[in-house]
Amino acid sequence: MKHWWKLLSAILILYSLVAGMLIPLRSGIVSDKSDMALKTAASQHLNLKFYNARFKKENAEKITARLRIDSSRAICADNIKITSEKELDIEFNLAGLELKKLESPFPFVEIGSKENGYVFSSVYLSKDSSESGNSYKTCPAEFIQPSQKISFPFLNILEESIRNLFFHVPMWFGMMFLLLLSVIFSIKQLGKADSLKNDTKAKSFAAIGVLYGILGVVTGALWAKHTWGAYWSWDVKQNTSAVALLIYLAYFVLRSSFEDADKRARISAAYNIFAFATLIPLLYIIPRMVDSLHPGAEGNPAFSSYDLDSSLRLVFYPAVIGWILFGVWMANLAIRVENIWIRKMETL
Amino acid sequence: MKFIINLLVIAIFTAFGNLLKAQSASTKSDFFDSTGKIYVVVAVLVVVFIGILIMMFSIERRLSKIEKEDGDI
Repeated sequence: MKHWWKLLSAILILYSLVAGMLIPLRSGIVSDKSDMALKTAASQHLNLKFYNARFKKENAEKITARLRIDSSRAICADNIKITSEKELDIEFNLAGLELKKLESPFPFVEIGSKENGYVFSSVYLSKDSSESGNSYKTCPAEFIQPSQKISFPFLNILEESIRNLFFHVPMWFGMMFLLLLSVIFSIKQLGKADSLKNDTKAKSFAAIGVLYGILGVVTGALWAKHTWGAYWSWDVKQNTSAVALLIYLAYFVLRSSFEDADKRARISAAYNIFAFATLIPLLYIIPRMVDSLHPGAEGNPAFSSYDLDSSLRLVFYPAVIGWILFGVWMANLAIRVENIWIRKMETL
Repeated sequence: MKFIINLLVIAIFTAFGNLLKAQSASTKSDFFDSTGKIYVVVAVLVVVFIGILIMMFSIERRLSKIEKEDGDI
């Protein structure tokens, strides 16, 4: 099987499509932050709206809700009412709770059941000086084991669009890989100038790499519109990747301006090396130095371990490999067609 | 052949335009933000697919030139 890697690329992309679209999102709280505020007084209510949840009235007693104080203690809810399939009304008695004694001013509420897993959200506590009623009671609370079912994390602004991770980010990984191949062939071309074979390869890999880059920018802009609020927010990474693409577009303009094939091969190979050299500061150094809306801006422009959940990795890495191989496949087709064309022109 | 392709392209674009018009300005972003923003993922997949189509068209154009040189097969 000479073509195993083409099959592999198709299988990996198909896998990323199927698994990336079908693995469910965890449940999450979609209420505003203002709904998450509690006072240290009796009968405090949390009215919470959930995403991907289905509460049933007959299972009401199985649902637990507690406000965690430290690793072994929590304040259990006095009353949990299911107001609708996706809404809960939770009542806490927090009278007499001293904020200064808490480990964190934003303790977590843990809501859920043993079977279906838990949802976490931090709560904003504020002091209430009026002292009335019984003071709060703690209940023992074991640490919660994460759910064993494979599911993607629920992030408030992203919601289901977290799945774009498997289609937007592999474009950039693929672009980088293809442009690296392109520059390698450009160097080879400079070393062995009597044949145009390496020049064709460099050109085709650059073309597919730039296609991936443009797809990355367009898909990124679409994603940004519905998460950051605008197609173009002048984010560092958006700007630098646009500049990088313009530099590579100039590579093709440069190529088309030569009549003589040998001259074109030599000069565009030299230009390609400089173009690739500018990619490194543009995509790897500047984004690390400036604040960005992109995740991982605090040092690593890729993903910190917090951003990339293990269930996401399960789909993300196969998608990256699949799209890289698919790009090499597309470039391969272009190279073969181009070579036939060159041979034809030489015989004429 | 070219005429048919042109016709198809126009048909697709008018259909798409009507679709957008149907969910006019105020509801368009509501549509994308509904059901947990899953339609953003759909839009991204459509864009990636269009990218692959562009690639196929450009390879096809080269192939047609070669076929023409071979003397219309």
